[in-house]
Amino acid sequence: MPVSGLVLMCQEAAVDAVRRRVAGRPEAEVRGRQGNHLIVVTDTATLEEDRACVDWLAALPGVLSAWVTFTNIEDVATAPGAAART
Amino acid sequence: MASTESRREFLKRTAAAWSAAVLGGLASSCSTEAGAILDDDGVAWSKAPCRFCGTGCGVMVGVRDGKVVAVAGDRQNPVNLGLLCVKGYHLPGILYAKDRLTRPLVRRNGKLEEVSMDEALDLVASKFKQLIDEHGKGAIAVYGSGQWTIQDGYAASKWIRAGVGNNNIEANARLCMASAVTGFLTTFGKDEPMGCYDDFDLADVFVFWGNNMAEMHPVLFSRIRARKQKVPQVVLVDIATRRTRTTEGSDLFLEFKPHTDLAIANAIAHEIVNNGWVDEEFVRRHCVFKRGEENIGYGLRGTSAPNPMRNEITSFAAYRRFLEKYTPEYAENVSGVPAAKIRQVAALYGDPNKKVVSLWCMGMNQHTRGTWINNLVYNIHLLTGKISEPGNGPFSLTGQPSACGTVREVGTLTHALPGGRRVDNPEHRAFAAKMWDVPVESLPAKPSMHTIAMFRNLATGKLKGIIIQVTNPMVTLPDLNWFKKGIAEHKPFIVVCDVYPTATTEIADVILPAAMWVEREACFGNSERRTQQWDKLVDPPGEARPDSWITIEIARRMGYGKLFPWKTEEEQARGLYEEYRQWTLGAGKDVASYDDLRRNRGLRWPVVNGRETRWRYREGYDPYVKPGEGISFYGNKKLGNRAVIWQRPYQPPPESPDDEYPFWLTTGRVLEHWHTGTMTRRVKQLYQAMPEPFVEIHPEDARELGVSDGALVKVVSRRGELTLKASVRGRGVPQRGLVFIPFFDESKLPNLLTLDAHCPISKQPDYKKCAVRLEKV
Repeated sequence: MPVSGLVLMCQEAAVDAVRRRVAGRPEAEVRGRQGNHLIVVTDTATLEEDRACVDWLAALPGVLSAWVTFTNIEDVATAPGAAART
Repeated sequence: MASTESRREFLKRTAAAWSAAVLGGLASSCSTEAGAILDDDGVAWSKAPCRFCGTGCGVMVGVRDGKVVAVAGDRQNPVNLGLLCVKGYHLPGILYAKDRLTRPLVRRNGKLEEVSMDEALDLVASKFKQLIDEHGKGAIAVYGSGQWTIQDGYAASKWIRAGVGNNNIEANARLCMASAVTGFLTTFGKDEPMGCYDDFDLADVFVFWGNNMAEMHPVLFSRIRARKQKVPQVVLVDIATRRTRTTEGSDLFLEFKPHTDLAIANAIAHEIVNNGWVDEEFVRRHCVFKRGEENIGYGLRGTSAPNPMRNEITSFAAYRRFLEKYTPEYAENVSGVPAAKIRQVAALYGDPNKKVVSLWCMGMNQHTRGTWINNLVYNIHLLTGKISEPGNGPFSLTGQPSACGTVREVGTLTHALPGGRRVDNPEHRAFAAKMWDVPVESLPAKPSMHTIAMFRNLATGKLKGIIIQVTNPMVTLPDLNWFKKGIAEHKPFIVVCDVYPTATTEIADVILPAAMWVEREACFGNSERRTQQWDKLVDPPGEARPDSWITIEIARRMGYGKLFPWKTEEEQARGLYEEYRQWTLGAGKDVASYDDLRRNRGLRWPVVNGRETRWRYREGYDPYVKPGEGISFYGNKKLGNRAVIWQRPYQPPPESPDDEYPFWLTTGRVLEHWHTGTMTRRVKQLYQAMPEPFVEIHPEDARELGVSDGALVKVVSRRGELTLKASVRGRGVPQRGLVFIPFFDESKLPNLLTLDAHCPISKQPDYKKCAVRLEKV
């Protein structure tokens, strides 16, 4: 059940719109704003959802860059099924 | 953690606080209160560099119960200031895939059988000794990687040169940045960039030469984007053969026909000279002009050509005459780039009030004229004097975490010795003999084989045995079928050390499981000359061990134990590094002490009196430049410490599209996967995001072929064929007449199609252009 922290760099005029889009997504939450940057935390059930959520955030109109700054996968990393291609 | 707070809320609060702290660090200087935010009962946090590309981002690694359970961007690391790209934040995943190699395997009667590490090492050592006894010292070789740690590379070099007594050592960096090395050496006499990442916060113009930095070096590209956010007048120029995310983020796009960057670079120089934008004082004091041999061939099997290094001193007048034909209109005719755009870029370089950084990676290096195009970009910076100062300079990026630190600095290429020394220099060999306490006569004076020659010799039976560490040549060699057939026929003895099964372990006689990243203590060196150290944080699985440990154990069993007096892995990590460091002191490449590296987030060499160097060759920054010299390109002592401006013409590539094979093929990487995908394809979410490769086709070409997005297409070259799904509206858009295939999937190899041609100076293959046809399936 990954928890990740992200910084979204947005176009100045798009910050509020991005904030509203994130608010509509239950697994993502805006936890702060500094200028044209938004601090977003994601809490998802699986690694796949975590990744999909990050991709969705990065692709939002008005988002220039999405940086991941923190991720905890303590109850995922120990699972036996981390391999992708076996 | 407060008792009333759930674990998840605690983690979310930590994630938010860390992100806020990173953001605070970006806005001002880095804070040092790292530990407070990440304070978490039972999770121990330690620094390490990222395991993936050459950027060298710092990560904080969280370990609980002997496992890596979390990562955070390292706010104290000046490379990334706490930011990570998608590959970095999946670092824990690469350690824990189900098919991790944990026991040595020996092939018997065609099947791999588990054996003990002792038995495997004994077998390898005895077989290598037997091959040497039967065929001479040159019978065996070692092939490594830009993912080798500094310790791994130094141990391998010492074993093969001072122990076995040959120069049969190469690394896969030959395939990705050898042209950058020869470019630096032929122009400046010393390898590696003069600038550093600080330039990205200072420049006014960024020119990407065939470099999809947004996807391949995303953290650095974000840094450039942040610069543009802060100063909107900053200009980003993308010079490329296909539209990518870098194009989307750029202000100006020059789409050129493959290989014609040579003409474009000369046309930019033409404009600089003709418009009076030359910094005449700089050129007069710090540059010389040369013309090189031009009939140099393409390194194809069975061909020969004059010495490509032959050259003569010329003059500015001769250079001006050479440039006369390279008008923007000539370049437009050759490259397809409108002359007006070439003039626009030339004006940016020529404007004395604009600071310019040029960036490149594989697009320029994997080129049959790779050394030349590197020289030509240096020409532009030398003509304008925009070099070796804050915000101004050419910057060659690397794709692997220690391509610079290990391959280039330790010297794990056949000709190289540590600290920028060469095996064919008697003084350097004498130094090596002293350092390694061996007779100087035992050190061979000639380079033996570059990478392609090494595998050609393996495929033709001339080379009898090889140990391959942390790389996957059965995916990365060009014209792969030829090598596979030869190896199957001649059956050389092949040992592979790796962390997962790969296409290369499939041809191995012995497979040794390797420890990776924070499962061992070691050092990497990144693209900006920064050496970084990390400690062992978790145990490797099963009998996996560091590559350096494996090399030392093989050496001991072959009778070369006295070369490696260190017993424990910890002693080896420190001992190998500190001995290597002695080679660098006073050689202009002084790396920091092990203790200094342990205390810091890396330091950029030369490190003299504890101070790192941000800009080389310039007084006030570089301790090797004497007071009053101003600028000194001290790698070129015989040229009076001057850099070389080269006459390098445009010449066509060895294979171009024709009626039978009407498309260009270029190969490369994607954001989700790193190189051959050995690690990233095992990270489930990266695998699912990009499960299979594709052939990217321009929409108009696809329409003419009757191919829609996702349809199967057979790609056929003179050497092989490959069937893939078409990508017509993907994130990249090639120009008309060009297709792109990423190379991360060992089951769908574009190198079955590519041409075994290379730059005759650097010996680096050209994976970026050959001719193919497309067939609808």
